[in-house]
Amino acid sequence: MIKSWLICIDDTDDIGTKGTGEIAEEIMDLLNSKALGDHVEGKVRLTSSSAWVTRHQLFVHPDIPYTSHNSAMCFEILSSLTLAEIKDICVIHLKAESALAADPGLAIIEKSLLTTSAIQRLMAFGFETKRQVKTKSDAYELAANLGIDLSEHGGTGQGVIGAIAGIGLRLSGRDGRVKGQLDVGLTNSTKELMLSVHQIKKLTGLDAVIELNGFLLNDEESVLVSGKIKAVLQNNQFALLVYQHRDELTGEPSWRNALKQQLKNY
Amino acid sequence: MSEKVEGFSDKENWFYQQQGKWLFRFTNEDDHHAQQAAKHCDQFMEDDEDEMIDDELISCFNCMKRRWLIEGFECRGLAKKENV
Repeated sequence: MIKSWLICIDDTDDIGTKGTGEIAEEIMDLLNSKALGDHVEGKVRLTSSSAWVTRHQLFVHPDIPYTSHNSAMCFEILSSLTLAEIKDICVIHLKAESALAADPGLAIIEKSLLTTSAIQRLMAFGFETKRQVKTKSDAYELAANLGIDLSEHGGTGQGVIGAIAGIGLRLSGRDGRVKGQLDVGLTNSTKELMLSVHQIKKLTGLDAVIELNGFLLNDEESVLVSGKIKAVLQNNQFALLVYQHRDELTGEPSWRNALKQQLKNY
Repeated sequence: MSEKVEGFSDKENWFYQQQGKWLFRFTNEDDHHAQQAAKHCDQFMEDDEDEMIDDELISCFNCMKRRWLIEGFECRGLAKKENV
């Protein structure tokens, strides 16, 4: 039976080592390839937007032993694997790829087991972890109460805090940036393109294009895309974030994909 | 490479030392000074693309050796250099 799972990892890297996002993506690919071997339906997930890894910023505070940025990486898969099988794949890869100095944590939950109240508690924990120092005890207590599989895999195991917080933030549908860049056909010779919102959604698999205040753009509106194209998770949608640019000479407004400085708040 | 090391002898234009840590003198919004500091530094190391927040690549805000704080960041590249 195919079930939907949320998986989140944190604190796997160190200066100069493979990033947590890359490790999360590798685990997601491993799990998806395993699902593919067993079920054709799994193939759908490889092109589904919900298969993206999201990055969730947590609190930066002197009392928290993060490497440089303190973010957790979360993803969702559909799989017929059991919890034990999923966890095995995650743990083997985490142990193989995490930095020696890291303190990796792993959280896994089957989504259908989460009640509304559990989701609310997870979300509350996630948002609190963005502005308060939480402890491992806090994380384990919440996991035990809600039936989340939470485990540590080296070092101090502090990563369990971010791992369970990341699950809550992903569930909120209004936190985080999508890992990686989207391909809309830009090349070295085509550094910018004018695309309709409809085209952007079709090319990328995104759900929406939104401006900085959260308003949705219509399918017919045009966006000048250039540089690195990044998406965010907002309003329970994977969305391209855009801002309104005014031409210096004509004052004519146009939509452009958000700059890194604008994306950093997500 | 050695020229850049000498060049960063003026690191105190961008950083100050507090309890053995080198802290950025400016805010998390000050791209200009983050870019200037990185241009003078031989410690710059590109962070993961997902962790970069400055559209200008060579910027302390995009460096793997910056450690974000509530206000500003700590440069661990400078601290490590001093301990060598």
